[in-house]
Amino acid sequence: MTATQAAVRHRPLRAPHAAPLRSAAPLLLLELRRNAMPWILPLIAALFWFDSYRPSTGQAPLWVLRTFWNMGQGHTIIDFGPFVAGVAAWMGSRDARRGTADLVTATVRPRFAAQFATWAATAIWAVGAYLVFVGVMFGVYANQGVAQPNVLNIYGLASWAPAAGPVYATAQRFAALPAATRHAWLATHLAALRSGQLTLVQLP
Amino acid sequence: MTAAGVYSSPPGAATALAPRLGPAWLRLARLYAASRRVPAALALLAGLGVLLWAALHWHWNIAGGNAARQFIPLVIETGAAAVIAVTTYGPFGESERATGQWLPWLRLGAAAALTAAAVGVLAAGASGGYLPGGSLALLRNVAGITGTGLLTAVVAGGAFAWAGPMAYVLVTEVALTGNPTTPWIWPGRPTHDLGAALCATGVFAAGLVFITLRGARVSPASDDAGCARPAGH
Repeated sequence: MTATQAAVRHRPLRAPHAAPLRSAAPLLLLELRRNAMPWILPLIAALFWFDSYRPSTGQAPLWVLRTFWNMGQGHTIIDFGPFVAGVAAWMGSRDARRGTADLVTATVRPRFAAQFATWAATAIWAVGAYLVFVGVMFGVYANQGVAQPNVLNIYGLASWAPAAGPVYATAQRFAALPAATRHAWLATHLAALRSGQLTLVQLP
Repeated sequence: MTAAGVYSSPPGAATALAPRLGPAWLRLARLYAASRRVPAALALLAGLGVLLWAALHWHWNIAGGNAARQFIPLVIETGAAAVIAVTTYGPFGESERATGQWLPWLRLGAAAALTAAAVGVLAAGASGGYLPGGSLALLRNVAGITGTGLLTAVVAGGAFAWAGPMAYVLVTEVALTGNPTTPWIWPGRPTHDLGAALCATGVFAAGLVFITLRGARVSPASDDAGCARPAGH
């Protein structure tokens, strides 16, 4: 018997993408564990409190106003953006910094896959932290009794708007109007107020 | 024949190279500067000077109040401070500290020289147009923000020293939307405000003292010389 007479044995076909996906998960977990993003989060949290949360509490307790302050004016993004960019650059330059670029280029795993895992881990930390911070902030707002701008809120503006602020002055002016005028204006503009197209300082 | 009892090199063994490389202190300073990427930092500082010149010459501005008006110069000054702060990061870690007798003086010299260079190139860049506060405010701002960067390097390590100036400029921009009266927000104070000048000078002096005496923080996480830990930070 020679080898030429032996039947060729075929390997069972495997799903071609299962193995890379299975091996990507540990790599991603490793990158999540070794990422530099958590070290910068306390600083971001302090800035987030100072720049986004603290000034927004000076606004009237209306979702529209506070969301506009934080999101519309980009305070929350500005608190995160520069630091996330810096950490991402730091993580991305790791191979060159450690002089291991040649070493890891010769490995089986494509460089794109490894670098993608680094990027994904940084992005997961950044986006996750952003969602947590914003979620906590809005949770605190909810506990403070922040409300939608409805008729009752507007009629009661003068009682809770911060004195000497523009909303308080507007509330005084609005309260001095005849009841019929107030009702007519609210009936016309309530939808715009609720959607945020109008703010309380634009009351007549 | 053994090496026992031999305490010095034979005459002429290694001295032939030395005269060509200049004095030992100059060679040491050059090697230190290379290890801290000082040439790249100087190139970046020059680029920031050109950027400031372009911003002032072509009147780049953002519509708005005091915060918007100062935003571009302040960000450029912060960039310069961040560059200086990051140069405190060294690749050798503890081994350098254990053997580097002149290391504190090198740290002091590098930080002071780079700050002077930053003020110089930014002042040159300010000749492109009107800079709010003028060169005196530029000197105060750059020195003070550099101090925050040096202090951050002492606390968090040279690699993340840029975070200090970045955080300071964000706090300052928020404060500038109002009317800051505290001297700690020195970019928001008039040029000849004594309190602001003292605060900025104090922060810079504290940064210089701490970076000279303690150096940038070296931790296992940021020590690239240690290959046992392949962490990204």
